[in-house]
Amino acid sequence: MHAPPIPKPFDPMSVADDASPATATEPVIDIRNLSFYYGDFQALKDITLPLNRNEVTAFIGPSGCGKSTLLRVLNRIYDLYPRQRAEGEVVIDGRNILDARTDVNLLRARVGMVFQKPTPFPMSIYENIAFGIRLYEKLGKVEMDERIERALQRTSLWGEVKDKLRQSGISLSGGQQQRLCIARAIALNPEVLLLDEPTSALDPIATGRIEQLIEELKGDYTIVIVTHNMQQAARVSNRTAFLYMGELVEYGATAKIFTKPTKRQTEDYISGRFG
Amino acid sequence: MSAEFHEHIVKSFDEEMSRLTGEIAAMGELAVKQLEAAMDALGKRDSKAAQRVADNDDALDAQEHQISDDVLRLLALRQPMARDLREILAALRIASDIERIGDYAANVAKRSMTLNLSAPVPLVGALAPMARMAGRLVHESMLAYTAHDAELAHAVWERDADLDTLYTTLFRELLTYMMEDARSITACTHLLFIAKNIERIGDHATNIAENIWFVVRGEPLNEPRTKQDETLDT
Amino acid sequence: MNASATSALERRPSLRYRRRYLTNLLGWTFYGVFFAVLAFALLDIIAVVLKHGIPAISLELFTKPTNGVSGGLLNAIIGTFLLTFGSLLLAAPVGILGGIYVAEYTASPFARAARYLSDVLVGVPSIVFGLFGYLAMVTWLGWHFSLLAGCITLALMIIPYILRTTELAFRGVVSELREAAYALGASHAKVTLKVILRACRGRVLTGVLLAMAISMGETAPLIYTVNWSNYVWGGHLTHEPVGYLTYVVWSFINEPFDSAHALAYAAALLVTVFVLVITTSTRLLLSRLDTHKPH
Repeated sequence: MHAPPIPKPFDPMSVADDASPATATEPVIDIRNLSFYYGDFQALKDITLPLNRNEVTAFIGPSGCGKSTLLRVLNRIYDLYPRQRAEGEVVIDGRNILDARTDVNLLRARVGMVFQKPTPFPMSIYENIAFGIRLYEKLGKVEMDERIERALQRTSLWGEVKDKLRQSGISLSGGQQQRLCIARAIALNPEVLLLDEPTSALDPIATGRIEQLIEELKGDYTIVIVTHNMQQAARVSNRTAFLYMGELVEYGATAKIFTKPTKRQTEDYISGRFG
Repeated sequence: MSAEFHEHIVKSFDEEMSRLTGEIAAMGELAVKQLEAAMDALGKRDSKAAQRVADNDDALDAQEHQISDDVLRLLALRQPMARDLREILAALRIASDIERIGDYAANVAKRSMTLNLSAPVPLVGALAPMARMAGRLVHESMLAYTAHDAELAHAVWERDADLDTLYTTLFRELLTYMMEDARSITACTHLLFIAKNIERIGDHATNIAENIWFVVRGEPLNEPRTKQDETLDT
Repeated sequence: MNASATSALERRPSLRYRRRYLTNLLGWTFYGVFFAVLAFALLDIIAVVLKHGIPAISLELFTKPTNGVSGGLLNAIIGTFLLTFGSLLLAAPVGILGGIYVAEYTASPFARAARYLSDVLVGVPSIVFGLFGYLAMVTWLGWHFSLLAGCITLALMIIPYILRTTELAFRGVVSELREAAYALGASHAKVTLKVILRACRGRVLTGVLLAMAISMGETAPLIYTVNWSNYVWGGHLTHEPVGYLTYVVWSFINEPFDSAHALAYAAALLVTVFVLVITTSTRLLLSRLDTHKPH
């Protein structure tokens, strides 16, 4: 007679392997032993985390866990505030961007950022995108028009705004504004896109569009997203890092983190039972 | 990973989860009772009792439906993650295993009614210990389920081998008996099927055990196991 | 329906709630009374100005200069516009740039000093500015009563006002917008002038226009710096007193002549209309420019 089949229904370990091709490539951003301070308060504690090329990495964790802080180190936007400082290394292309000699403006052209609230500049849709390009390049009208159209096409906004490029960016809906901000960032041809809770101010439909956009963009850009919405992290990311009280608790393939995390804290957090 | 977990922040989620586990446990116990009642009817050649067992299978089916509904609602409304997700997935699978166990118990009852139409066969008595063992396996798998006890589940999973051994022995005895007395072939064939049903119940108990392992440990139970059902070699 | 099923609306309100209701009513009554007093004062002023001013309006007013206590107001109208725009020309760049500096370099000691000084200056009575202008420019620098002395004195008075409104306008811009501009790699100057200033230009402009209205309505700083002249401005920045509308209001109303009173009311009406035009256009501008509202 036959043996009872040992079912092999689901193997989180094999899921982890599915995402592994990226581990073969060198990380775009290699965070090594990073600590961060707001004055005397240590907000990040010895974080070591490689971010893989052309993948979406999600940072999750409760409020105040340091996930946004970590994101804000990657383009050194924290530099704007005098009492904030980082220790350790964040290596991009073999160079530590925390080094004082780093040109932060060039860094920010390579590492774009989109914020929680849509932040269109108080100028026309066209100028919103041209603003960033003009910081680095002097283009003729034809070339500039092309660049702007491409950026808007890439964010699926072209069809919606092509007849009103001269209108204020503020006249767009929230979701469109956010896509305009993404277009503005990718118009600079960055390698990395940092998204800081990009959909928390948007309705579900607009959120869906942004998520679809992330899906489309991840082939060309390395994307790091901070989100409070765990389902969103699960939907859009390849890898997930769970931070808690400034520490990196767990980092791994998203499918594994959301089905079988190795750490108890991760499990508690993602299943909604923080105790 | 231990069995106790923090409670969910949303308390009604915990309530719904414990309702689900409660339903599964109740369903499991009903299946065990069905098997015991079927075996009792078989031993006593009580066709009425056997009919009651067969009719009672509908109750198990209804419970399985209820559990499917609950699982669907939990998935849709709670978006469970990690352990919760495994728990709910396993609940669906375990319910379907128990439903199959119930089907086998009902089938035993139906065959006992057919057996009652002919002369008693002496070997019926040998089925009782096998059925008791199968019932115990199911019962213990339910204990392991409610306690989230991976070790107990593993023990159940291993002890299915003993049931297989019993089945192999009985299989050989029935073959010998049929060869000796050709008139008993019809009755013995029914007994053989009953034995097979009981053996299958054991297999479903191991499925349940595997699912418990998966819930608690988050990985499949896929170590090699010595298989004691040697009837293929006979 | 039984007693336990009565809705919250049907239930008799608690004592505490009734007290809250009464306090609320009392508060609104106070508001109403004070508003009525203020509105009455304003309407009364406007009514008096209109009643006496409208009959005094004539073509001569705009075509002829003042002659003693009669004639037209051409010299004063021109003088008022020269003083207003002249002072604004001096004050707006200093006030706006100062406001931006104070907003952007909050922590610098210079910014702190500027903020403190402007707060002090806002509180200084305008007559003190007039005296300062008289001592510093009219006598010490030897400019005599003149347009320039008047413009500088008015400018000194409204700079702190423009500075503070500009600073507040800058601070009102959400920090995300600032960060978003920096995140593209823009320099501090680009972020400040191209993005932030644009985002709050409506409010900055409001501050400037309101400052303009203030300077147009001032008399005290001008009495000792510009004095008064019956003649239309002859083109000299110094050594030439200039006529202006508020002087007519302030001075001619005390003269025992009907023609003087008529001129005073006409001047009051003109100033009121000018200020009204400025404030109304400010509101219109604000509603059109200040579209960067929070979502």
